Amino acid sequence: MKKYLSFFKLRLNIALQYRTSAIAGMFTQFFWAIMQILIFQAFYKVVTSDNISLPQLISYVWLKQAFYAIISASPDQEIKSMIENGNISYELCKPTNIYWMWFFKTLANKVSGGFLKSIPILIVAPFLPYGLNLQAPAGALEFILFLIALALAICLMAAILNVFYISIFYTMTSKGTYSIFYAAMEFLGGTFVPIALMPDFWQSLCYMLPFSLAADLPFRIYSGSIGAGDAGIFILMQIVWLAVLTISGTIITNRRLKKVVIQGG
Amino acid sequence: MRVYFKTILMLIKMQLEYRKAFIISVIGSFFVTFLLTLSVYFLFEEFNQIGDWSFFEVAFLFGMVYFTFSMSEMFFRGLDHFANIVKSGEFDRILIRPQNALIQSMCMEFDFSKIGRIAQSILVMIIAIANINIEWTMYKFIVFILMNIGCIAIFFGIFVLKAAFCFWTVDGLEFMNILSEGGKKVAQYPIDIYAKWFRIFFTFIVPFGLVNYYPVLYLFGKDSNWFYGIVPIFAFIFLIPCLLIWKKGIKHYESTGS
Repeated sequence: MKKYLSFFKLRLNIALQYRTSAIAGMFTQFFWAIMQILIFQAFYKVVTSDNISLPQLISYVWLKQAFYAIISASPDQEIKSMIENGNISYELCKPTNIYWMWFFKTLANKVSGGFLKSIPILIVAPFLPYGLNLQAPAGALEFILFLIALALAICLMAAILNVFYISIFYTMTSKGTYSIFYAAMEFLGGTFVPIALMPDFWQSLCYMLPFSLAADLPFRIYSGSIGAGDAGIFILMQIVWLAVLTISGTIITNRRLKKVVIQGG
Repeated sequence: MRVYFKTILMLIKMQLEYRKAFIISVIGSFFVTFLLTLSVYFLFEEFNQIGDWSFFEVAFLFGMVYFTFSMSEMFFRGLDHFANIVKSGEFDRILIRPQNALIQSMCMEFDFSKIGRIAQSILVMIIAIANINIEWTMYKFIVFILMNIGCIAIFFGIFVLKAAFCFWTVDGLEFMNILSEGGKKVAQYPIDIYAKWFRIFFTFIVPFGLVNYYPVLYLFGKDSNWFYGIVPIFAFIFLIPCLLIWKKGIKHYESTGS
Protein backbone atom coordinates (compact mmCIF):
# COMPACT_ATOMS: atom_id res chain seq x y z
CA MET A 1 0.00 0.00 0.00
CA LYS A 2 2.83 2.32 0.92
CA LYS A 3 4.30 1.71 -2.50
CA TYR A 4 1.18 2.91 -4.25
CA LEU A 5 0.85 5.89 -1.98
CA SER A 6 4.36 7.07 -2.74
CA PHE A 7 3.72 6.49 -6.43
CA PHE A 8 0.61 8.60 -6.16
CA LYS A 9 2.54 11.30 -4.33
CA LEU A 10 5.17 11.28 -7.05
CA ARG A 11 2.60 11.71 -9.80
CA LEU A 12 0.92 14.49 -7.91
CA ASN A 13 4.23 16.25 -7.43
CA ILE A 14 4.98 16.06 -11.13
CA ALA A 15 1.58 17.51 -11.96
CA LEU A 16 2.04 20.26 -9.41
CA GLN A 17 5.41 21.13 -10.83
CA TYR A 18 3.84 21.58 -14.23
CA ARG A 19 1.45 23.90 -12.51
CA THR A 20 4.30 25.98 -11.12
CA SER A 21 5.83 26.21 -14.55
CA ALA A 22 2.47 27.29 -15.99
CA ILE A 23 2.11 29.95 -13.32
CA ALA A 24 5.70 31.04 -13.89
CA GLY A 25 5.01 31.39 -17.59
CA MET A 26 1.93 33.44 -16.86
CA PHE A 27 3.84 35.80 -14.62
CA THR A 28 6.48 36.22 -17.29
CA GLN A 29 3.84 37.15 -19.87
CA PHE A 30 2.31 39.78 -17.62
CA PHE A 31 5.69 41.16 -16.68
CA TRP A 32 6.79 41.56 -20.30
CA ALA A 33 3.59 43.24 -21.34
CA ILE A 34 3.56 45.67 -18.42
CA MET A 35 7.21 46.56 -18.88
CA GLN A 36 6.70 47.31 -22.56
CA ILE A 37 3.66 49.40 -21.72
CA LEU A 38 5.64 51.39 -19.16
CA ILE A 39 8.34 52.12 -21.72
CA PHE A 40 5.82 53.21 -24.34
CA GLN A 41 4.03 55.38 -21.82
CA ALA A 42 7.30 57.17 -21.18
CA PHE A 43 7.84 57.70 -24.90
CA TYR A 44 4.30 59.00 -25.43
CA LYS A 45 4.60 61.49 -22.59
CA VAL A 46 6.61 63.81 -24.82
CA VAL A 47 5.51 63.03 -28.38
CA THR A 48 2.67 60.91 -29.69
CA SER A 49 2.90 58.81 -32.80
CA ASP A 50 0.69 59.63 -35.79
CA ASN A 51 0.29 55.99 -36.72
CA ILE A 52 -1.00 54.56 -33.48
CA SER A 53 -2.35 56.10 -30.29
CA LEU A 54 -1.20 55.03 -26.84
CA PRO A 55 -4.37 53.09 -25.88
CA GLN A 56 -4.25 51.35 -29.27
CA LEU A 57 -0.61 50.48 -28.71
CA ILE A 58 -1.34 49.13 -25.23
CA SER A 59 -4.08 46.87 -26.61
CA TYR A 60 -1.61 45.80 -29.27
CA VAL A 61 1.00 44.87 -26.67
CA TRP A 62 -1.48 42.82 -24.62
CA LEU A 63 -2.86 40.93 -27.60
CA LYS A 64 0.56 40.26 -29.00
CA GLN A 65 1.67 38.91 -25.63
CA ALA A 66 -1.50 36.83 -25.31
CA PHE A 67 -1.16 35.19 -28.71
CA TYR A 68 2.62 35.14 -28.79
CA ALA A 69 2.87 31.37 -28.51
CA ILE A 70 0.63 30.98 -31.53
CA ILE A 71 2.14 33.52 -33.87
CA SER A 72 5.80 33.20 -32.91
CA ALA A 73 8.08 31.51 -35.41
CA SER A 74 9.22 28.70 -33.13
CA PRO A 75 9.16 25.41 -35.03
CA ASP A 76 7.46 22.20 -33.98
CA GLN A 77 10.22 20.35 -32.12
CA GLU A 78 8.81 16.93 -32.97
CA ILE A 79 8.85 17.52 -36.73
CA LYS A 80 12.23 19.19 -36.55
CA SER A 81 13.96 16.36 -34.74
CA MET A 82 12.15 13.84 -36.92
CA ILE A 83 13.79 15.27 -40.01
CA GLU A 84 17.14 15.61 -38.32
CA ASN A 85 17.35 12.13 -36.88
CA GLY A 86 15.86 10.27 -39.82
CA ASN A 87 12.60 9.13 -38.21
CA ILE A 88 10.97 10.95 -41.08
CA SER A 89 11.18 7.64 -42.95
CA TYR A 90 8.24 6.32 -40.92
CA GLU A 91 6.20 9.32 -41.89
CA LEU A 92 7.05 8.80 -45.53
CA CYS A 93 5.55 5.31 -45.37
CA LYS A 94 2.16 6.71 -44.50
CA PRO A 95 -0.19 7.25 -47.41
CA THR A 96 -0.71 10.94 -46.70
CA ASN A 97 0.73 14.07 -48.18
CA ILE A 98 3.57 14.99 -45.88
CA TYR A 99 3.36 18.72 -46.51
CA TRP A 100 -0.21 18.97 -45.31
CA MET A 101 0.45 16.61 -42.45
CA TRP A 102 3.20 18.95 -41.21
CA PHE A 103 1.00 21.91 -41.81
CA PHE A 104 -1.89 20.66 -39.69
CA LYS A 105 0.34 19.16 -37.04
CA THR A 106 2.05 22.50 -36.51
CA LEU A 107 -1.28 24.26 -36.58
CA ALA A 108 -2.84 21.92 -34.04
CA ASN A 109 0.10 22.08 -31.66
CA LYS A 110 0.28 25.84 -31.78
CA VAL A 111 -3.42 26.37 -31.36
CA SER A 112 -3.88 23.90 -28.50
CA GLY A 113 -0.85 25.11 -26.57
CA GLY A 114 -1.18 28.73 -27.48
CA PHE A 115 -4.83 29.41 -26.78
CA LEU A 116 -4.45 28.12 -23.25
CA LYS A 117 -1.69 30.64 -22.68
CA SER A 118 -3.79 33.48 -24.03
CA ILE A 119 -6.68 32.92 -21.63
CA PRO A 120 -5.21 34.48 -18.44
CA ILE A 121 -4.31 37.68 -20.27
CA LEU A 122 -7.63 37.93 -22.04
CA ILE A 123 -9.43 37.56 -18.72
CA VAL A 124 -7.28 39.84 -16.58
CA ALA A 125 -5.94 42.52 -18.93
CA PRO A 126 -9.26 44.26 -19.69
CA PHE A 127 -9.85 44.91 -15.98
CA LEU A 128 -6.51 46.47 -15.15
CA PRO A 129 -6.53 50.15 -14.15
CA TYR A 130 -7.20 52.56 -16.99
CA GLY A 131 -4.04 53.36 -18.91
CA LEU A 132 -2.72 49.82 -18.53
CA ASN A 133 -5.72 47.86 -19.72
CA LEU A 134 -6.67 46.03 -22.87
CA GLN A 135 -9.38 48.09 -24.56
CA ALA A 136 -12.50 46.75 -26.23
CA PRO A 137 -12.17 46.31 -30.01
CA ALA A 138 -12.68 49.43 -32.10
CA GLY A 139 -16.02 48.13 -33.38
CA ALA A 140 -17.98 45.02 -34.31
CA LEU A 141 -16.66 45.08 -37.87
CA GLU A 142 -13.09 45.48 -36.67
CA PHE A 143 -13.55 42.58 -34.28
CA ILE A 144 -14.78 40.27 -37.02
CA LEU A 145 -11.93 41.35 -39.29
CA PHE A 146 -9.54 40.74 -36.39
CA LEU A 147 -10.78 37.17 -35.97
CA ILE A 148 -10.44 36.50 -39.71
CA ALA A 149 -6.97 38.02 -39.82
CA LEU A 150 -5.88 36.06 -36.73
CA ALA A 151 -7.11 32.77 -38.19
CA LEU A 152 -5.27 33.48 -41.45
CA ALA A 153 -2.21 34.60 -39.47
CA ILE A 154 -1.96 31.25 -37.71
CA CYS A 155 -2.19 29.39 -41.03
CA LEU A 156 0.38 31.74 -42.52
CA MET A 157 2.79 31.03 -39.67
CA ALA A 158 2.35 27.29 -40.16
CA ALA A 159 3.13 27.76 -43.87
CA ILE A 160 6.25 29.79 -43.06
CA LEU A 161 7.42 27.09 -40.65
CA ASN A 162 6.88 24.47 -43.35
CA VAL A 163 9.41 26.36 -45.46
CA PHE A 164 11.77 25.95 -42.55
CA TYR A 165 11.14 22.20 -42.28
CA ILE A 166 11.85 21.78 -45.98
CA SER A 167 15.05 23.78 -45.65
CA ILE A 168 16.36 21.25 -43.13
CA PHE A 169 16.38 18.68 -45.95
CA TYR A 170 18.86 20.88 -47.74
CA THR A 171 21.03 22.12 -44.87
CA MET A 172 20.81 18.97 -42.71
CA THR A 173 20.97 21.05 -39.55
CA SER A 174 18.79 23.70 -38.05
CA LYS A 175 21.35 25.36 -35.82
CA GLY A 176 23.33 28.50 -36.57
CA THR A 177 21.68 29.87 -39.64
CA TYR A 178 18.26 29.37 -38.13
CA SER A 179 18.99 31.76 -35.27
CA ILE A 180 19.73 34.45 -37.85
CA PHE A 181 16.52 33.78 -39.75
CA TYR A 182 14.58 33.61 -36.52
CA ALA A 183 15.81 37.02 -35.41
CA ALA A 184 15.11 38.49 -38.84
CA MET A 185 11.61 37.04 -38.76
CA GLU A 186 10.93 38.41 -35.29
CA PHE A 187 12.21 41.80 -36.36
CA LEU A 188 10.17 41.91 -39.57
CA GLY A 189 7.18 40.62 -37.62
CA GLY A 190 7.27 43.57 -35.28
CA THR A 191 8.32 41.76 -32.10
CA PHE A 192 11.32 43.96 -31.38
CA VAL A 193 9.51 47.17 -32.19
CA PRO A 194 5.87 47.38 -33.31
CA ILE A 195 5.71 47.94 -37.04
CA ALA A 196 3.45 50.96 -36.57
CA LEU A 197 6.40 52.72 -34.92
CA MET A 198 8.93 51.97 -37.63
CA PRO A 199 9.97 54.57 -40.22
CA ASP A 200 7.69 54.66 -43.29
CA PHE A 201 10.04 52.81 -45.60
CA TRP A 202 10.37 49.90 -43.18
CA GLN A 203 6.64 49.82 -42.56
CA SER A 204 5.81 49.38 -46.22
CA LEU A 205 8.60 46.83 -46.58
CA CYS A 206 7.40 44.83 -43.58
CA TYR A 207 3.79 44.75 -44.73
CA MET A 208 4.85 43.34 -48.09
CA LEU A 209 6.37 40.33 -46.33
CA PRO A 210 4.36 37.53 -44.72
CA PHE A 211 5.97 37.80 -41.26
CA SER A 212 4.23 40.99 -40.22
CA LEU A 213 0.99 39.85 -41.85
CA ALA A 214 1.16 36.90 -39.47
CA ALA A 215 2.53 38.45 -36.32
CA ASP A 216 1.48 42.09 -36.36
CA LEU A 217 -1.51 42.80 -38.58
CA PRO A 218 -4.37 41.18 -36.59
CA PHE A 219 -3.64 43.18 -33.46
CA ARG A 220 -3.56 46.48 -35.29
CA ILE A 221 -6.92 45.70 -36.87
CA TYR A 222 -8.38 44.95 -33.43
CA SER A 223 -7.50 48.34 -32.00
CA GLY A 224 -8.51 50.17 -35.15
CA SER A 225 -5.07 51.58 -35.91
CA ILE A 226 -5.54 50.04 -39.34
CA GLY A 227 -8.94 51.07 -40.72
CA ALA A 228 -11.47 48.51 -41.90
CA GLY A 229 -10.89 49.38 -45.58
CA ASP A 230 -7.12 48.89 -45.43
CA ALA A 231 -7.67 45.81 -43.29
CA GLY A 232 -9.59 44.23 -46.18
CA ILE A 233 -6.65 44.76 -48.53
CA PHE A 234 -4.19 43.34 -46.01
CA ILE A 235 -6.37 40.29 -45.42
CA LEU A 236 -6.40 39.74 -49.17
CA MET A 237 -2.59 39.91 -49.08
CA GLN A 238 -2.57 37.30 -46.32
CA ILE A 239 -4.60 34.99 -48.54
CA VAL A 240 -2.28 35.56 -51.50
CA TRP A 241 0.80 34.83 -49.39
CA LEU A 242 -0.81 31.75 -47.93
CA ALA A 243 -1.56 30.47 -51.43
CA VAL A 244 1.93 31.25 -52.71
CA LEU A 245 3.65 29.60 -49.75
CA THR A 246 1.52 26.46 -49.65
CA ILE A 247 1.51 25.84 -53.41
CA SER A 248 5.24 26.37 -53.85
CA GLY A 249 5.81 24.45 -50.63
CA THR A 250 3.94 21.35 -51.82
CA ILE A 251 5.76 21.38 -55.15
CA ILE A 252 9.20 21.73 -53.60
CA THR A 253 8.49 19.12 -50.93
CA ASN A 254 7.30 16.56 -53.46
CA ARG A 255 10.30 17.18 -55.66
CA ARG A 256 12.74 16.97 -52.77
CA LEU A 257 11.22 13.85 -51.27
CA LYS A 258 11.96 11.93 -54.45
CA LYS A 259 15.64 12.49 -53.78
CA VAL A 260 15.73 12.17 -50.02
CA VAL A 261 18.27 9.70 -48.64
CA ILE A 262 17.82 8.29 -45.18
CA GLN A 263 21.18 7.45 -43.71
CA GLY A 264 21.37 4.36 -41.58
CA GLY A 265 19.00 4.00 -38.66
CA MET B 1 40.50 30.23 -10.11
CA ARG B 2 43.41 28.95 -12.20
CA VAL B 3 41.42 25.82 -12.90
CA TYR B 4 38.55 27.98 -14.11
CA PHE B 5 40.63 29.81 -16.69
CA LYS B 6 42.31 26.66 -17.85
CA THR B 7 38.99 24.94 -18.46
CA ILE B 8 37.64 28.00 -20.24
CA LEU B 9 40.67 28.05 -22.51
CA MET B 10 40.09 24.41 -23.41
CA LEU B 11 36.44 25.09 -24.17
CA ILE B 12 37.39 28.01 -26.42
CA LYS B 13 39.85 25.86 -28.31
CA MET B 14 37.20 23.19 -28.66
CA GLN B 15 34.74 25.61 -30.21
CA LEU B 16 37.31 27.04 -32.59
CA GLU B 17 37.82 23.55 -33.98
CA TYR B 18 34.47 23.74 -35.74
CA ARG B 19 35.43 26.85 -37.61
CA LYS B 20 32.49 27.21 -39.98
CA ALA B 21 29.83 26.63 -37.34
CA PHE B 22 31.67 29.01 -35.05
CA ILE B 23 31.83 31.82 -37.62
CA ILE B 24 28.13 31.45 -38.41
CA SER B 25 27.15 31.69 -34.77
CA VAL B 26 29.39 34.72 -34.23
CA ILE B 27 27.80 36.45 -37.20
CA GLY B 28 24.42 35.38 -35.88
CA SER B 29 24.95 36.84 -32.43
CA PHE B 30 26.31 40.05 -33.98
CA PHE B 31 23.32 40.29 -36.28
CA VAL B 32 20.71 39.75 -33.56
CA THR B 33 22.16 42.53 -31.42
CA PHE B 34 22.35 44.74 -34.48
CA LEU B 35 18.62 44.29 -35.08
CA LEU B 36 17.94 45.15 -31.44
CA THR B 37 20.02 48.31 -31.76
CA LEU B 38 18.13 49.20 -34.90
CA SER B 39 14.86 48.78 -32.99
CA VAL B 40 15.96 51.29 -30.36
CA TYR B 41 16.99 53.64 -33.15
CA PHE B 42 13.58 53.30 -34.79
CA LEU B 43 11.83 54.23 -31.57
CA PHE B 44 13.89 57.38 -31.23
CA GLU B 45 13.36 58.19 -34.88
CA GLU B 46 9.65 58.25 -34.08
CA PHE B 47 9.74 59.89 -30.65
CA ASN B 48 13.06 61.77 -30.47
CA GLN B 49 13.41 61.30 -26.72
CA ILE B 50 12.23 59.37 -23.71
CA GLY B 51 11.68 61.54 -20.63
CA ASP B 52 14.60 63.91 -20.93
CA TRP B 53 16.98 61.30 -22.30
CA SER B 54 18.26 61.40 -25.86
CA PHE B 55 18.95 58.54 -28.23
CA PHE B 56 22.68 58.37 -27.59
CA GLU B 57 22.23 58.42 -23.84
CA VAL B 58 19.87 55.46 -24.05
CA ALA B 59 22.13 53.81 -26.63
CA PHE B 60 24.94 54.04 -24.08
CA LEU B 61 22.85 52.22 -21.50
CA PHE B 62 21.77 49.71 -24.13
CA GLY B 63 25.37 49.03 -25.10
CA MET B 64 26.43 48.69 -21.51
CA VAL B 65 23.66 46.29 -20.56
CA TYR B 66 24.25 44.10 -23.59
CA PHE B 67 27.99 44.16 -23.04
CA THR B 68 27.76 43.13 -19.42
CA PHE B 69 24.99 40.62 -20.04
CA SER B 70 26.90 38.95 -22.87
CA MET B 71 30.03 38.82 -20.75
CA SER B 72 28.04 37.19 -17.95
CA GLU B 73 26.36 34.83 -20.36
CA MET B 74 29.71 33.86 -21.80
CA PHE B 75 31.55 33.32 -18.54
CA PHE B 76 28.73 32.03 -16.35
CA ARG B 77 26.84 30.04 -18.95
CA GLY B 78 27.22 26.85 -16.96
CA LEU B 79 25.08 28.45 -14.25
CA ASP B 80 22.51 29.58 -16.79
CA HIS B 81 22.12 25.99 -17.97
CA PHE B 82 22.47 24.54 -14.51
CA ALA B 83 19.15 22.68 -14.78
CA ASN B 84 20.76 20.36 -17.32
CA ILE B 85 23.69 19.69 -15.01
CA VAL B 86 21.34 18.75 -12.19
CA LYS B 87 19.00 16.72 -14.39
CA SER B 88 21.79 14.65 -15.91
CA GLY B 89 23.31 13.90 -12.52
CA GLU B 90 26.49 15.63 -13.60
CA PHE B 91 26.44 17.62 -10.39
CA ASP B 92 27.35 14.51 -8.39
CA ARG B 93 30.64 14.41 -10.23
CA ILE B 94 31.25 18.03 -9.42
CA LEU B 95 30.64 17.46 -5.74
CA ILE B 96 33.25 14.73 -5.45
CA ARG B 97 36.04 16.87 -6.83
CA PRO B 98 38.08 18.87 -4.33
CA GLN B 99 37.25 22.23 -5.93
CA ASN B 100 34.64 24.87 -5.34
CA ALA B 101 31.33 23.61 -6.74
CA LEU B 102 30.27 27.05 -7.94
CA ILE B 103 33.42 27.64 -9.97
CA GLN B 104 33.21 24.16 -11.44
CA SER B 105 29.59 24.63 -12.47
CA MET B 106 30.51 27.95 -14.02
CA CYS B 107 32.97 26.40 -16.40
CA MET B 108 30.84 23.44 -17.40
CA GLU B 109 29.96 25.42 -20.50
CA PHE B 110 31.41 28.37 -22.32
CA ASP B 111 29.82 29.93 -25.35
CA PHE B 112 32.54 31.81 -27.14
CA SER B 113 30.24 32.82 -30.00
CA LYS B 114 28.82 35.53 -27.73
CA ILE B 115 31.91 37.45 -28.80
CA GLY B 116 29.83 38.72 -31.74
CA ARG B 117 27.33 40.26 -29.37
CA ILE B 118 30.08 41.70 -27.21
CA ALA B 119 31.71 43.34 -30.24
CA GLN B 120 28.40 44.84 -31.33
CA SER B 121 27.60 46.22 -27.88
CA ILE B 122 31.07 47.71 -27.44
CA LEU B 123 30.62 49.38 -30.83
CA VAL B 124 27.29 50.84 -29.73
CA MET B 125 28.83 52.10 -26.50
CA ILE B 126 31.72 53.76 -28.33
CA ILE B 127 29.43 55.48 -30.84
CA ALA B 128 27.20 56.63 -28.01
CA ILE B 129 30.08 58.00 -25.93
CA ALA B 130 31.45 59.85 -28.97
CA ASN B 131 28.11 61.60 -29.37
CA ILE B 132 27.50 62.56 -25.75
CA ASN B 133 29.26 65.47 -24.17
CA ILE B 134 31.06 63.92 -21.25
CA GLU B 135 33.79 65.86 -19.47
CA TRP B 136 36.06 62.94 -18.72
CA THR B 137 38.03 62.96 -15.50
CA MET B 138 39.93 60.18 -13.81
CA TYR B 139 37.06 59.75 -11.37
CA LYS B 140 34.49 59.50 -14.14
CA PHE B 141 36.54 56.83 -15.82
CA ILE B 142 36.57 54.83 -12.60
CA VAL B 143 32.82 55.32 -12.32
CA PHE B 144 32.42 53.95 -15.83
CA ILE B 145 34.43 50.83 -15.00
CA LEU B 146 32.56 50.41 -11.72
CA MET B 147 29.23 50.54 -13.52
CA ASN B 148 30.23 47.75 -15.84
CA ILE B 149 31.62 45.57 -13.07
CA GLY B 150 28.58 46.23 -10.92
CA CYS B 151 26.29 45.26 -13.73
CA ILE B 152 28.17 42.02 -14.34
CA ALA B 153 27.97 41.34 -10.61
CA ILE B 154 24.17 41.67 -10.68
CA PHE B 155 23.84 39.33 -13.64
CA PHE B 156 26.19 36.91 -11.88
CA GLY B 157 23.98 37.08 -8.81
CA ILE B 158 20.90 36.37 -10.90
CA PHE B 159 22.56 33.40 -12.57
CA VAL B 160 23.64 32.01 -9.18
CA LEU B 161 20.10 32.46 -7.92
CA LYS B 162 18.67 30.73 -10.96
CA ALA B 163 21.11 27.86 -10.55
CA ALA B 164 20.40 27.60 -6.83
CA PHE B 165 16.69 27.21 -7.52
CA CYS B 166 17.49 24.07 -9.50
CA PHE B 167 18.30 22.34 -6.21
CA TRP B 168 14.63 22.57 -5.32
CA THR B 169 12.92 22.37 -8.68
CA VAL B 170 13.96 22.42 -12.32
CA ASP B 171 10.51 23.48 -13.47
CA GLY B 172 9.18 27.00 -13.39
CA LEU B 173 12.61 28.43 -14.09
CA GLU B 174 11.00 30.64 -16.72
CA PHE B 175 10.12 32.85 -13.79
CA MET B 176 13.80 33.58 -13.27
CA ASN B 177 13.96 34.94 -16.79
CA ILE B 178 12.02 37.90 -15.49
CA LEU B 179 15.16 38.80 -13.58
CA SER B 180 17.75 38.05 -16.26
CA GLU B 181 16.01 38.78 -19.57
CA GLY B 182 13.60 41.22 -17.96
CA GLY B 183 16.38 42.96 -16.07
CA LYS B 184 18.31 43.27 -19.28
CA LYS B 185 15.37 44.97 -20.94
CA VAL B 186 14.57 47.15 -17.94
CA ALA B 187 18.12 48.38 -17.59
CA GLN B 188 18.22 49.51 -21.21
CA TYR B 189 16.30 52.59 -20.19
CA PRO B 190 17.06 54.93 -17.30
CA ILE B 191 14.78 53.75 -14.52
CA ASP B 192 13.25 57.16 -13.86
CA ILE B 193 10.91 56.55 -16.80
CA TYR B 194 9.11 53.71 -15.01
CA ALA B 195 6.32 53.76 -12.46
CA LYS B 196 7.37 54.10 -8.84
CA TRP B 197 6.72 50.52 -7.61
CA PHE B 198 8.69 49.25 -10.59
CA ARG B 199 11.55 51.62 -9.82
CA ILE B 200 11.72 50.58 -6.19
CA PHE B 201 11.89 46.90 -7.12
CA PHE B 202 14.75 47.48 -9.54
CA THR B 203 16.68 49.68 -7.15
CA PHE B 204 16.40 47.94 -3.79
CA ILE B 205 15.62 44.31 -4.64
CA VAL B 206 17.42 43.77 -7.93
CA PRO B 207 19.65 46.81 -8.01
CA PHE B 208 19.89 47.62 -11.70
CA GLY B 209 19.12 51.24 -10.90
CA LEU B 210 22.31 51.46 -8.87
CA VAL B 211 24.53 50.48 -11.78
CA ASN B 212 22.93 52.47 -14.54
CA TYR B 213 20.64 55.28 -13.48
CA TYR B 214 22.50 56.95 -10.62
CA PRO B 215 26.08 56.69 -11.90
CA VAL B 216 24.93 57.78 -15.36
CA LEU B 217 23.37 60.90 -13.86
CA TYR B 218 26.81 61.82 -12.62
CA LEU B 219 28.65 60.59 -15.71
CA PHE B 220 26.56 62.65 -18.12
CA GLY B 221 26.73 65.69 -15.85
CA LYS B 222 22.98 65.69 -15.23
CA ASP B 223 23.71 65.76 -11.53
CA SER B 224 27.00 66.89 -9.99
CA ASN B 225 26.66 64.84 -6.81
CA TRP B 226 29.85 62.74 -6.82
CA PHE B 227 28.30 60.20 -4.48
CA TYR B 228 26.11 58.90 -7.29
CA GLY B 229 29.32 57.76 -8.95
CA ILE B 230 30.22 55.18 -6.32
CA VAL B 231 26.68 53.87 -5.87
CA PRO B 232 27.47 50.80 -8.07
CA ILE B 233 29.50 49.43 -5.16
CA PHE B 234 26.28 48.84 -3.24
CA ALA B 235 25.10 46.58 -6.04
CA PHE B 236 27.52 43.96 -4.71
CA ILE B 237 25.34 43.58 -1.63
CA PHE B 238 22.92 41.78 -3.95
CA LEU B 239 25.44 38.95 -4.20
CA ILE B 240 25.24 38.10 -0.50
CA PRO B 241 21.69 36.65 -0.43
CA CYS B 242 22.30 34.97 -3.79
CA LEU B 243 25.38 33.14 -2.54
CA LEU B 244 23.66 32.26 0.74
CA ILE B 245 20.77 30.69 -1.16
CA TRP B 246 23.26 28.77 -3.27
CA LYS B 247 24.95 27.45 -0.10
CA LYS B 248 21.62 26.46 1.34
CA GLY B 249 20.71 24.81 -1.96
CA ILE B 250 23.77 22.59 -2.01
CA LYS B 251 22.87 21.27 1.43
CA HIS B 252 19.36 20.56 0.18
CA TYR B 253 20.62 18.80 -2.94
CA GLU B 254 19.57 15.24 -3.54
CA SER B 255 20.93 13.47 -6.55
CA THR B 256 18.56 12.60 -9.37
CA GLY B 257 20.12 9.16 -9.40
CA SER B 258 20.86 7.43 -12.68
